[in-house]
Amino acid sequence: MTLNVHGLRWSVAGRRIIDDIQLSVETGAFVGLLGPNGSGKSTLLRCIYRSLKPDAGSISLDGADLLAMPPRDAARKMAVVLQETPVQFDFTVQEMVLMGRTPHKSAFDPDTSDDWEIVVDALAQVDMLDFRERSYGTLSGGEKQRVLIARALAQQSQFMVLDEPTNHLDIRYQLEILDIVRELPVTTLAALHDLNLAALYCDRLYVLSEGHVVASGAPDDIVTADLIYEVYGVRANVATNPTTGKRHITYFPARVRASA
Amino acid sequence: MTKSEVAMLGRQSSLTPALGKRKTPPERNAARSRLLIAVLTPLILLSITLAVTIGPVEIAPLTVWEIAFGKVTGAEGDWSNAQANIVWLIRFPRVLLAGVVGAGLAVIGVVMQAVTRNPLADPFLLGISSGAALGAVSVLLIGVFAELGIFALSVGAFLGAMLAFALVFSLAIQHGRLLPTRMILAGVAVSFMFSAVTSFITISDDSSGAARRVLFWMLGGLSGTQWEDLTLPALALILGIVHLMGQSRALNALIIGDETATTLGIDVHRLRRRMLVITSLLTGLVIAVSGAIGFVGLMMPHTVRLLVGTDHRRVLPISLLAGALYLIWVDVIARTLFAPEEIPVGIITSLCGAPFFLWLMRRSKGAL
Repeated sequence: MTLNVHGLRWSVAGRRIIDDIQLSVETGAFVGLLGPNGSGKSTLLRCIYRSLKPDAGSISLDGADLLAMPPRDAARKMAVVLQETPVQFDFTVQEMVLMGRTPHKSAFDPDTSDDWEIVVDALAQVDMLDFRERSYGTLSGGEKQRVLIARALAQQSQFMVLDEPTNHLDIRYQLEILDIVRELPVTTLAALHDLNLAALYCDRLYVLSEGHVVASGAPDDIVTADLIYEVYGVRANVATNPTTGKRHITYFPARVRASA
Repeated sequence: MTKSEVAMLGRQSSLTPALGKRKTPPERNAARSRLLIAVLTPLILLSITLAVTIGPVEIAPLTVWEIAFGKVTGAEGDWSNAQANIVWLIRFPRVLLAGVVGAGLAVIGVVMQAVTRNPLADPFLLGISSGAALGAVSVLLIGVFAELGIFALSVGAFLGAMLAFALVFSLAIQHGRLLPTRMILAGVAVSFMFSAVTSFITISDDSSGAARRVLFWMLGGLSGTQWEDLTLPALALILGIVHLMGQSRALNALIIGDETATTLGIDVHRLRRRMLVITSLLTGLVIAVSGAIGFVGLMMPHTVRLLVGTDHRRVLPISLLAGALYLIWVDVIARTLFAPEEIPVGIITSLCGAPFFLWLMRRSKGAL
């Protein structure tokens, strides 16, 4: 499943939040989307998962026009893990995951044993099977995120979009979530805020700044001190970590910068 | 077998321990809802029977059904004509209408809470009932839609309800997001505005009898119900619940959030528009025959959710049954407590419902 975005633009009140976005995700890849707050990451993802309607440009999924696709067809091809929002009405964990079957169901279709098998497998994959009768609202942030990933898995689509899946999580859960996502047999596009984690896990990165793609490529090629200064306005040292073999960034606070 | 294969096997078997493949895991909520349906259905039949027996003229439960059977099939029996008329012409339609109105209000509440994602949504609180009341009073006193005959009241109430709902909804949306607090405030404002217009129309009317009739109707009452009052709301309830059951998965997704629903393949705007029309229609038709009965749409869905969770495939039918049962008995209390005087049903539902609302408000912290 490949995703291709061409010349994408979305504006509000005449202001272009994202403009002229070119992006592609190859089959099986884990692509990270980086950029400071307000750079347009979420807007771009919203356009891709069709919550926002772009003003210009095209998005295609395996060559098919995603923007013209009926909602159900799109949901069968693409699953989305959104940032966790408080839910006033309580579902159990397995009800939440069962919801992932929605795009495969017509009006009065019952839940079949196949559906339940998919739900159980998805819960097992994120190691949440023991929680299946627990109420979703009582879970911790990391557990909720895993349930949402299980729901996306139950959707059985080949393409997965994640909007900052590790936001507000302890480092242990951040690694756990990214380990899970990394191992999934699907093509993945994820907005991430931590450059070190992105460099550690992603095959390819896109860096957004003020609504434009300013850099793209393999983490080893594009994560540089200059790029970080240009995009985030922060001085940093970029080295290769001997254990992971990946790029590692050390940020310099203002007083270090002054004395350097 | 390699080491990783062994590890994988071990992992696989630990994944699905006692469940095995191709088996539905046990679900507490599903078991509870089956039990509730099994208990509530006979309980409603029993309650209808008892409610018909209760009144100034005592009638034995068995006689109730003999008369009903006789009226339907034309069979003769050893009951008096007076008994037959009381049972068949006065009490039966009233008790059944109480059931239909209660069921309808509960279902409306479920849908409104899902569509607005607001636990405090209720046709009464959001001003939808006031809209329906204004529509109905315009028909009663000004004579709008007079050419529609007996349907005029229902059409007026429906249009009024839809106007109010659309107004509250558009006021509660800011930058494409529904703001719960704004929605309640908009509901209060719309409710006051419509009530003010309704009061103005009522007071401006010359015939004092009409004003009294309107006042009693607005407080919610089921006295003087006739069989033909049942037709429209019952029909709307049956068609409504069938359609809603078909949409229950979509409602599950919608109650989580617009974006979640979109990513699960639901056309959120179309669904919400359709739900707005359906709830307005049901509210209008129910209120046209019963007046404004508050808080049923709040109490029933929440009580049911506490028992069976939020899945609409369970909440919808069980709320329907619970609402019917509740209002049948509230109406019995309304007509027996100070007999021969009657209390409007709406007064009793508000007495029970307002404290419930306050409890709910304290409980659902994020909503306001």
